[in-house]
Parts: sequence; structure tokens; C-alpha cells
Amino acid sequence: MISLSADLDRTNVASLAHEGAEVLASGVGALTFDGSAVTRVRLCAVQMLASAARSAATAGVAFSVEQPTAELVAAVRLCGLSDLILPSAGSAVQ
Amino acid sequence: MTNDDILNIFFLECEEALAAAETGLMDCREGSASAETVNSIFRSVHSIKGGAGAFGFTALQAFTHKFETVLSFVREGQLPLGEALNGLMLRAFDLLTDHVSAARGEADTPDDTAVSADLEAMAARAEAGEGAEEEAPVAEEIPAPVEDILLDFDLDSLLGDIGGEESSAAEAAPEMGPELDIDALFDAEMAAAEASLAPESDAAPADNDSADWTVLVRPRAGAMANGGDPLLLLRELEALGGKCTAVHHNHVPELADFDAANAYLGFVFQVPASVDEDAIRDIFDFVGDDCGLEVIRGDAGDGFAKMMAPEPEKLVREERPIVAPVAAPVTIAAPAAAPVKVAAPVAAPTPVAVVAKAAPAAPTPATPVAAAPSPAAKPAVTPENAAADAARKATVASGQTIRVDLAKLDRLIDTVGELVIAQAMMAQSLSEHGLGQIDEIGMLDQLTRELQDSAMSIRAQPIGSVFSRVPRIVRELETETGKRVRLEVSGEQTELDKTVVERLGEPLTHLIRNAIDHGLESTETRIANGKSPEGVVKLSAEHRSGKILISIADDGAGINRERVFSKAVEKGLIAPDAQLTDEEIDNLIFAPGFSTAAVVSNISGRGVGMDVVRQNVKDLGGRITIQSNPGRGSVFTLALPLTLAISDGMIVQVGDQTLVVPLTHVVESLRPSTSDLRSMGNGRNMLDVRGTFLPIIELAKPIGAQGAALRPEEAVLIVVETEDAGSAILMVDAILDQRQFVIKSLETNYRPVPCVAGATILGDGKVALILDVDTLVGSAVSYNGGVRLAA
Repeated sequence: MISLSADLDRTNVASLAHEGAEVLASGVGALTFDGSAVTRVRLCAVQMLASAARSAATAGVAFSVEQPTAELVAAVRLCGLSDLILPSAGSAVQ
Repeated sequence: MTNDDILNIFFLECEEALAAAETGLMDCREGSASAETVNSIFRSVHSIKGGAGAFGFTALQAFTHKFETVLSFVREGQLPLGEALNGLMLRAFDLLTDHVSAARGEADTPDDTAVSADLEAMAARAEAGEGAEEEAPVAEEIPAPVEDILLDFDLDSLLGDIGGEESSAAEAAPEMGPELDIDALFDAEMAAAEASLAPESDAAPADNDSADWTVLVRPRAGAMANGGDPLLLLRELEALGGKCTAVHHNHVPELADFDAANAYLGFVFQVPASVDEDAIRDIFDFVGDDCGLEVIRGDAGDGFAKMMAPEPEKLVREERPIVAPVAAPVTIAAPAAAPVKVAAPVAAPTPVAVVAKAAPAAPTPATPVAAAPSPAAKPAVTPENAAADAARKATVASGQTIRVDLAKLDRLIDTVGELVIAQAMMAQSLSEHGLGQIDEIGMLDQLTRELQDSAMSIRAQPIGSVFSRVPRIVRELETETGKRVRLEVSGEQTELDKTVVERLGEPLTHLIRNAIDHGLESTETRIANGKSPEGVVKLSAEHRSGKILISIADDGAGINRERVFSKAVEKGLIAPDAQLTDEEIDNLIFAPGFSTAAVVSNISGRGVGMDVVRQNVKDLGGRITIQSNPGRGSVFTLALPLTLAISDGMIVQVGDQTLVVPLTHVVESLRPSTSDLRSMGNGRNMLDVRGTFLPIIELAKPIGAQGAALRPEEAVLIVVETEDAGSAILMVDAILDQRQFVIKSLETNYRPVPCVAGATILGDGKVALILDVDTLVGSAVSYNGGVRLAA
């Protein structure tokens, strides 16, 4: 599981994207992010998660974001990407 | 970065925006404007308005809003360009310039009552569907611009910089190639949406007023830079009651290709009809062209569906879904942990239309997805105009700039100057040890010169920044004098040192005013003389022989030499029986207090201008010359050095002194034959140079050199020319070299010395004085009893 950092700024997002790509390349059966620590979300983070969802689908592996915080859920919803990024309806934590 | 720094950057942006707007307005006036020209003016004014609001310049903001309103009607074709509208826009532009100056604290807040009223009246006419008083010819209509809001002022970037958020990463982030493709796709989609929605708007205007807004938002990479976050914009839309009804995400790449600095998503928001359109647009005020935006009144579902409908005949299909409709909001029960409920499954993938981006300035619609041509008149556009626009865009796109503290630049220039000196010293030292011919010396010399040129070019600025103020001066003078003037400007891109550019404004203004007020005849006189009623003033700049030549030419009456002569006699500047050449008479106008104007106006005529002009040019190390033809006009030519820091000079030996004669003054050097010399008594000599007798100045005397040649026959003579003392001959022992030298100020490092312009350090480490040839010759000729021509 890849832990999403509290502040999903561009540097962190770039790092997470790299980490996610490596996980997919390793051939694991699922790409899972832990969203429980997220307090600040930017558009780049939402895009990265959308990219992760797409990559997982392409690779044929499961994708999920576990325990997304309210901030993360709100950002994803605002962007209209809940269905893509949070389809499994993980728990929102404060 | 402090707030003052940001404010300064805002004002710099204002200058750029004003320059762009003025260029566009002049194109409008000349009838060569394209749709992009109007867009460019609009963007410029809009960006100033945005910054003004952010910094609390309410008067500036209020005025730009009125100006912008009129421009928006022009842009939408509701106000066709014509003489009255062009005139109003130019007056509004001049006032806008004054407002910016007032905001900077450089002037009082201008009285914009009259122009504001005119702008509001013009806007009211447009709203009433009356249009302007007259219409401009329309060469070809073009599609409405796809990008509605394109701003230049990147306040978000600046504010992000304050916080230091990701600034370095943002600056380093390259523009990605795929971003262009995404933009092209989305722009085309937006155009298609606009096209699809427009008929509906026309069909049911009454219903449309109560329809919700459809807001298409397409952030670009720039919106993500410097701490910017488009998510904030979406949140503001949400705060207005907006809801995301669809999102483009098919451009999101795989993780391996993901770039956090890029923007991949596009959004469709539904905003309640009760919200004011301006409130929506204001949200995006500061992101400029970093965020595509369309605000459309109408049914989002239908319009968007039409936008997404594939058109197999014209479009390329793509298999992936481009839209994920949001069927219902995701609900979050409470801040406490709760499951996220997704009300509807992901919509089934639909075939996707992907189109090539239409050429932005093409004279005819390039693809059916482009917005339909506006039925209203658009600014005239021709293929040439469109090509020019494209060229301008290409220039802008290729120009990447950074702002650097001027002190750092000056330090670089100083260091390069020291390097030049050190290199010369090393070369001389090696030469003294028999190593002067080794290849490395030549290479080092070449590299040093290249480095020096590069460093100098950093300080170089296009002279256009000075030229840009001239059109306004001309417009004002047209009004004040009643003369009709056509200004022709060329060479705006000619570059010269920043300091020279900054100090050129005042003399240039004087010369332009002089050309129009004194040079050009009245319209009636011109007609009576068989001339065009419209006078022509040509302003040009060019590089020539290591100098910048700036010329101000008019096709007026030329200098009235009889009048100048009699005025000079009247003022006691010359004797009534003085025999002067035409050139010498022309130069009398540079005498302090000299004016032939019969009427002193606020334009000119007080005689305090031309001598100041000459002094300013001299202070810049330059010279000014006049060529005047009676009845045909005058040309004032300013010859300026490329830089004030390094110049070319002739290094000469006079007794025990080594001196530098600036090459700008040197005409030729020669060894005299005895037959050409004439003694004038008291040790003074003249030399016959191809029929002209020139005074010989023995440099050893004013300089105080010891052991110099005493007889001209034994010396080398250098013919020099000056501004106000004509030509003369400097007598030296030998010419040692001709090279570039670094100018060191004597005033700064020592004290002013008569006849000496500065000092430099030679290759052997010795200090050599740089001669002030003008002063030297002027005082020597005066001492010799000659006529000082115009001083």
C-alpha cells in the first residue's frame, strides 16, 4: 500500500506517481493507496490518482484508495472523478 | 519576494500590456487589425484591470472596466471598428496610461470623466444593438476566438512565490509536448460546444436568460505553476452553487508517463442562472491563458452531448471514454468516518470525437467544429494580417525571459570589463616574453570578446520601449496643432544598452515635438505647396558601424536658414557679418535659448529644448547631426554608442602620456606634408585637408605632456569631428593601437577633469585618459580665436 502524504503538493505527487508506476511494474495484483493522512489536496494529486486508476485498469489490477479523508473525498468529488478514483467507497476519516 | 517587489512586477506587466495594447490600437487605426489584434488589446486591458483590483487601485480598475466593456463589444462584433471608435479607444488608452502612472505615484489621478462617459455611451449603443457610428470594412470574417479569456498577468504566480510553494520546481518544469495536443483537443471541443449551443441561444433567447450557466474549464500547465492550484478555482465555482457535471479525463496518461506539473483534466460545471456572468469570469481573472474558459448560457446536458457527438466524416475516433458524467453527487455523511456513497455506476464508455485544432487565425473556418462565424461584423482581417499575427505569436512563444536584478547585471558587466583589462595585460605580458604569437592568446582574445558581447547583449533592450511612447505624443500634437501627421516607425527591435534606452526618452520627445510643431507646415500650407495634407514623421533606428543611428525625419518645410541666421544675430550668438555654411547655420538651433518660434506654446518655442537635446545626446556619448532641405524637410540623426561601459578607441602617444581618442570622433589620420601646412602665427597651424583648412591642436599643451613632438611635420595628425566646434586635427606622436576599452568614470573615482571624458586601464596596467574631444576642440578653437559655431 502506498501512503498518500498529508500535503499532496506537486513534489510529493510526482514521487507518488513514480512509486505507483514501480508498483505496477512489479506485477502486484493491486494498486492501493492509503488516503488516511491527506489534509491538503491539489489538482495534481487528483490527476495522479486518476492516472493510477487508469494504469491499474490497463494492467488489469485492482485499484483503490483506502480511508480517504474528507478533504480527499471532497477534492475528488469536486473534480467529478469519484466514480473513477473512489468507486469502492472507502472510509472517509477526519 | 516582498509586496513591493510584486507591485513592481505588476507595473512592469502593465508596461508590457500597455505596449501591446497600443500596438494593437495602432493596427486598428490603420485598418490592419485582425480578430487576434482586438483579442490582444482586450487581454492587455483585462490583465491591468485584474492587477489593479488586486492591489486596490480602484480608479484604475474602474476605468479599465469601462474600457474593457467596450472592447468586449468590439471583440464580439457588436461594435465594428471605425474612425470614431478608434479615436475613443485611443483616448481611453491614453487615459489608461495616465491611470497607471497615477497608480505608480508618478502623476495625479487623471480626470477621466469625459472619456468614461463616452465609453459608457458607446457600450450602451452596443447593448442597444446600435453599433458604432460608422463601420469599418470587413475583408473576411473569421470564426470567433476559441479562447475567451487569455490573461497575461500571472498574479497567482507571484502570490505563490511569496509562499515559496513549489516555485523552484515550477520554474524548472518544462512545457510538455503532450500539453499542446491536449489544448488543441480541448479547444476544439470548446469550439464545438460553443457552436452547438449558439443556435439554441438564438432560437430561444427568452428562455435562455433563465437557463443555468454552462462553464467549461480547462486548466493548463501554467495554472499549476508557482504554487497555483486550479482546484481553488473549482472550489470558488462550487461556492457560487456550481456543480461539476462532466469531466474530461481521457487525456490523463499512464502513471509511468504522468507529469505532476502538467494539467490533463477538463471540467464542465453547471452554475445557477441567478449568478452573474462576471462573477463566474472573475474567478478566473488571474490565471489568464493558463486556463481555458467558456461561459455559456444554456442547457449543459444537451450542449455537452452535442459537443461530444462523434462526426465520423471529419473526426478521428478514439476508443477511450472522454467523459465521465457525474450522475449524482458523492455524499459524505459527516466529518467522522463514513462510507462514501457513489450513487451511480460509471457511465458506459462512449465513442469519442477527437479533432485537430483549427488554425487560430485562419481567415476561413478550418473545420466544422470551429465556432460558427459571428453574424456581426468582425475586425477586418486579411491573410497578411493573419500571417503577421502568427509571426508575432511565434516570436512571443519562442521568447523565454527571466527577470534579473539590475545590480547583478551591472556586476557582471563590471567583471567582464575587468576581464577585458586582465586579458589585455596578460597578452602584453606574454608578448614581452616572446609569447605574443601563441594560438591560445588569440583564442582567449576571441572568447573574451564573445563573452563581452554576450554580457553587453544582456543589458541590451529594444529601442521600441522608447518608440512606443511616440504615437501618443503625435496624437496629442495632432490635436494641439491641428496638423495631420502620419507616423512611420521602423527598427523598433534595434537593441542598445538599457541605460541609453532609459535616457533617450527626453531627447526623443523633444525632437518629435520639434518636428511636428516646427518642421511640418500647417495643413493649409501643405496643400497650397502641393504637398499631401498629411505630414509624415519617420522615426527609425538601425545598427551601423558599431553605433546606433536614430533618425527623426519630417517632410516639412526644412530649416528656414535666413530666419535662424537673423535670430542668431538678434540674440548676439553670431556677428551680423559672420560667414557660415548651411550646416553651421543649422547647428545654431542647438544654441541655448535659441528659438525661431514666433509664438511660445506649451509644445515648443521657448528655446530650451534643442540645446538640452544635444547635451543629453552628448552625455550618452553620442552625437546629433542635422540634414535639412528647404521645402522638403529635415532629418535629425542621433549616433549613439551601443553601450556606455565599453567603447572603441584609438590609443595614441603624446610625449610621456598615453591617451585614448574615442573612435566616434575620428575621421582619418595622416602624416602632413610641409606644403599643406599653414602657420597662423603664435605657434598655431592649419592643415589643408583636400581643400579645407582645419586647425591643428597640439595635444601636448592642454594635456601637459612632456617630450611631445613640437612640429606637425614630425607628428601624426588625427582628423576629428565634433558636435559644435566643427572638425579639427589632433597632433600626436604616434598611434599605438586601436581597440575596445573599458570606460572608468573619473568623476566617480577622482573628480571631473576638463577635456577628459574618463580613464581606462591599458594592457600594461597603466591608466590612460580618454579625451573629451568635443570639449577639447571647442575650447582649443575658441582659444585660437576661431568662431564657435553654435554653442
